[in-house]
Amino acid sequence: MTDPTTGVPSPTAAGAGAAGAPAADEGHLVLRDLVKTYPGRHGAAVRGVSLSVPRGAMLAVLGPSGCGKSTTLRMIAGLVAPSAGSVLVDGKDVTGTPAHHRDMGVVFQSYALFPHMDVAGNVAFGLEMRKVPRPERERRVTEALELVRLDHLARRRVSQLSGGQQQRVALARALVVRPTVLLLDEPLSNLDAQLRTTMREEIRRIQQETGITTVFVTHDQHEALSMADRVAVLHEGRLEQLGTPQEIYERPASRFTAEFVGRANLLPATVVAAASAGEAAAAEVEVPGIGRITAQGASPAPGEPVTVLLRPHRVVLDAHDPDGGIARGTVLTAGYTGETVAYRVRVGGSGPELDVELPSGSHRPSAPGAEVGVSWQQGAARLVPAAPRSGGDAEAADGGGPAGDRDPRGGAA
Amino acid sequence: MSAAAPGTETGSDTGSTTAPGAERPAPGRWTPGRTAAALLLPGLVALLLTYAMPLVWVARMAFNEPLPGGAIRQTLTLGTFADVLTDGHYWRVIWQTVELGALVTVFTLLLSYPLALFLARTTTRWRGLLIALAVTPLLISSVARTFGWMAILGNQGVVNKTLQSVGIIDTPLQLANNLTGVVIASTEIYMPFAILVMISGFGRLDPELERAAASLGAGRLAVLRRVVLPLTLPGVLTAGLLVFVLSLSGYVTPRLIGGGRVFVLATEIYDEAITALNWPVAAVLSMLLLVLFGLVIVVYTRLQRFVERRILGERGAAS
Amino acid sequence: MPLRPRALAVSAGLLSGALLLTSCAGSATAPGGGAADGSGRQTVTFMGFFGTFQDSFTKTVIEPFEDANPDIEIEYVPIQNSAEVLAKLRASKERPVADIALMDSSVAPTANEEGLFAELDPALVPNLEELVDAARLQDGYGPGLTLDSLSILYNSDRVAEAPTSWDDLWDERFEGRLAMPIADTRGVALLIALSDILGVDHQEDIDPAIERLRELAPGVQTWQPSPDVYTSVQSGEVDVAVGWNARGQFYQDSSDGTVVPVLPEEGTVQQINSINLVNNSPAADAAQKFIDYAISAEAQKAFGDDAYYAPVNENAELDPEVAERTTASEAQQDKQIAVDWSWLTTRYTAWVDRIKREVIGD
Repeated sequence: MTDPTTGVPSPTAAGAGAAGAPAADEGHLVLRDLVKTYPGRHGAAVRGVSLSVPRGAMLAVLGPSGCGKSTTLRMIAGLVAPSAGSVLVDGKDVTGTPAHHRDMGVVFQSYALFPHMDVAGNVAFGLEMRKVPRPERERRVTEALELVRLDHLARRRVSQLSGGQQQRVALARALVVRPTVLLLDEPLSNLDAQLRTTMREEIRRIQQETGITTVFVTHDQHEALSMADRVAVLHEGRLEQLGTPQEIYERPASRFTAEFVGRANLLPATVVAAASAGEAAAAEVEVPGIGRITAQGASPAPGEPVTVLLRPHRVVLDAHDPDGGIARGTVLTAGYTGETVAYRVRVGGSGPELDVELPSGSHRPSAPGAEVGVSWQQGAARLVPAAPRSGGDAEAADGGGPAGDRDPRGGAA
Repeated sequence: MSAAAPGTETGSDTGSTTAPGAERPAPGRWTPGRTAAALLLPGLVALLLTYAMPLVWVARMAFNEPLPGGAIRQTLTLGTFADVLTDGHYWRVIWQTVELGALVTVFTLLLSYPLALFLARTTTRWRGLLIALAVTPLLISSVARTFGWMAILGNQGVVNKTLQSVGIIDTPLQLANNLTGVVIASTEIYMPFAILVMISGFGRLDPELERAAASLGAGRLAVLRRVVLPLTLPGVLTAGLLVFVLSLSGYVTPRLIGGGRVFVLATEIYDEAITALNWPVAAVLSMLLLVLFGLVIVVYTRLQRFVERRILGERGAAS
Repeated sequence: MPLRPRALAVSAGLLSGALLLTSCAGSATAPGGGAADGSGRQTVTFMGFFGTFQDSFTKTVIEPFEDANPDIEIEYVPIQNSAEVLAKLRASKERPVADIALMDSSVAPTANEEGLFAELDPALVPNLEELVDAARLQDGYGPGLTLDSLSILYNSDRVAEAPTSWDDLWDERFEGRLAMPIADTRGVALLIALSDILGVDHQEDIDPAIERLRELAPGVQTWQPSPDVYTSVQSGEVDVAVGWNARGQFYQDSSDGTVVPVLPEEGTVQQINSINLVNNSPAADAAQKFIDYAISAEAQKAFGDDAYYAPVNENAELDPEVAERTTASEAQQDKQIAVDWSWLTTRYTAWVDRIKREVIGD
């Protein structure tokens, strides 16, 4: 699964050619083939995850619940012992090092603040464990609380704090010891929507101010995309893709990533011929009900089935000229959400249904039943490797999935 | 002791008959308050009859004057109290009661804490079974268990026989018929109570807190000392209260395994009532035991408040 | 919720008060008290000791009596000890829960004085004439029913040379091997026996006897053998003990001779259980009829032969073999140490206290 010479996780290469990801041998934190199996439970929680985080970078581990992301984080922290594989920090194997000697700061989903200590007591705990002398300890506690803007609440009991304040205390407690790596487990999931946005920026600010290599786990794609330098998508214990937020969103390496990150229309198609669209690889494919279109991405041999990804907001509808687009469509439903209008459009008489999202105010809304021209910019359609990754082969871009993968619906919401 | 029996019997006989009367609707408006009162009444009455009445009876007896031969003169005198409180023997009995309670409480807590901690923290699917196993001794009467301990600790008991046959000792160790035996047997007998109370009192314990402490650099001992111990202290205190109170009023074990040497309030009350037929003195001793309970509760409440304020509440980094 | 605590308390108080009244009435009418049913058959309630005593007494005394008097039924209420009898009778003075009650002769004088027991009618209990001296207790009140005595018990498997004298308890052979349950009547009896041996009048001074017991204290394994002294001797937990003769004899039989009671050569003190007519008994006549039978030569022989109590009736002659093992044996009768139980009643508590404080607790 990994390149034997560098330990670089191969999925990166699969999706991201052009992105400026640092070389993996500079990785400050490196995971090698991490596996975790639980006795008596069917299958492994983590099935061989390898990745590398550059010094000072922020990595989001993204995936649905049960994908093994929290287990991975805990293995990094030393709170869960891996069944196989290793964790390296600065090139040094710390797999056998107990948690309390790993020097990593962890912010837990529940914050896990000590209820029997006040705010300052919680923050000072790690310093006490490191036998930091009292004057320095007090100074650093104050600094850490200033960093999270809670210095005025130092003597407050933890139970008297709001969720956002607790979150900050947890962050200060983890940061005050100046850990080599900061680990955040679903740090924002217990906050309400508004606070979440604020804390997102707050965490990003603090991380950039401190420059600590950070890994955070989330199931929220917005969080992952907006906060992280790099995103690792985990699915059923495996790494689906590792890349920059743009790579993950624009060039998903798998059907799973395409669907999980952002909304997606996934259309089954057949390769007609390899083509070239500018510098990147592309192919001409036949989409039933739509016809021949050009899609970006590495293509399998002509005649092979592939999946085409079309993001809803990249599609354009033209109510004035139904025949002026790439295909003709019929509006099935239209929903006004404020910022956008979401349409569902059937392409052709019996073609696939597409989700389309147009900015509200940019056009005159079409009513259900209206005939529209459907089109998209060059490059909006992308080929997605159709087969779910099996075994350890990350070079899955050769496409061609099993028959069951060709969804007759043609699109997904 | 048997003196309280008549009152108790009548109480339980009539307690069950209160319900119909209490539920009979009264004329006039039927308010929620009256419903609550009606619902409370049977319990209150039962409590009054089975608990308060015998207690009042015993309290009244304490002010009577004992006559030689077990007769009682109905009067109102503090003489018996004065006699008891100026008698060094009874102070020794009170002291030994408290000493036994303290020893048993300390040993019970020390032995139960690791077990309770394990049972509270374990994630094994056998947890339920293990907890059940820990409390199964409660299914056997403490009399039977005390006899079991006599078979183990006696001069002809398993321990002495084994040590003698191995040649470690020549003469049997005095493990029974003295305070040692009572402490050992009582400790075992109260352990299931302590374990149960501790497990249910360990609610604040969250494995995530231990992980958080570990991630902050705390080794096992530091986690135990700084996180687990403070958070489990309330449960330990409650278990301690229960064991101490049970031990203060314990009769069976001191009587059966104490060899007649271990004078505690419960055995002394029995002896005064049954052997000496001195009911007023027995009643005075019962009142003293009640006072002792009261003191224990006061101390417990203070300790609990201390723990909540100073250990669970305000303890900080710089303090 | 608008709860008025005061109204609540008042109603609760009233209700419980009412219940209390009814419950008192209920408990008074419920048990005991010589009720006659429609057939004219009369029930006499008898409070006696539990266990082997009950078995033996029912078989040898109650059943023959009921056979001879089909109109009277004896109901046996088992009790643990005399104190329990006293407690129950005190609690039911007006409507007593029993018609006849057994009581240790050290406790009975108190009950007599408190009016819990009634004097017997000599016309209804003619057998009073045949009583041995020891069984003639307080004038007019219940006579002795059983004569027992304090014995030394030993385990014959573990003790080669049997103890024969009270002094043997101090033998260093038995150091640490003694069970001395003497914080009760047994201790009182022992003090009297020791005073006698030491040549002191126990009515004058028991200090020497107490002092003598104090010397024994370090060698005592237990002052309170569990479950009782007889099983402790049988199991070998101790080798030597003091205990009541009749039960010791019973254990000698049931343990195939492991437990052996010895009536010491210096003589011993008798313990007497008296049979008493409860005051206010509605079945006083039938009750006295039964008391009369219980102290008859016939019943005394039957019960004594079975349970090893010496007879209180001078005309009762036990089997010679049994008689040898009771205080009725000639050897014992000669050396019987006389005790005035009604005098002793007033000293009993003080003596037990001294034993507890000066001998055991020291």
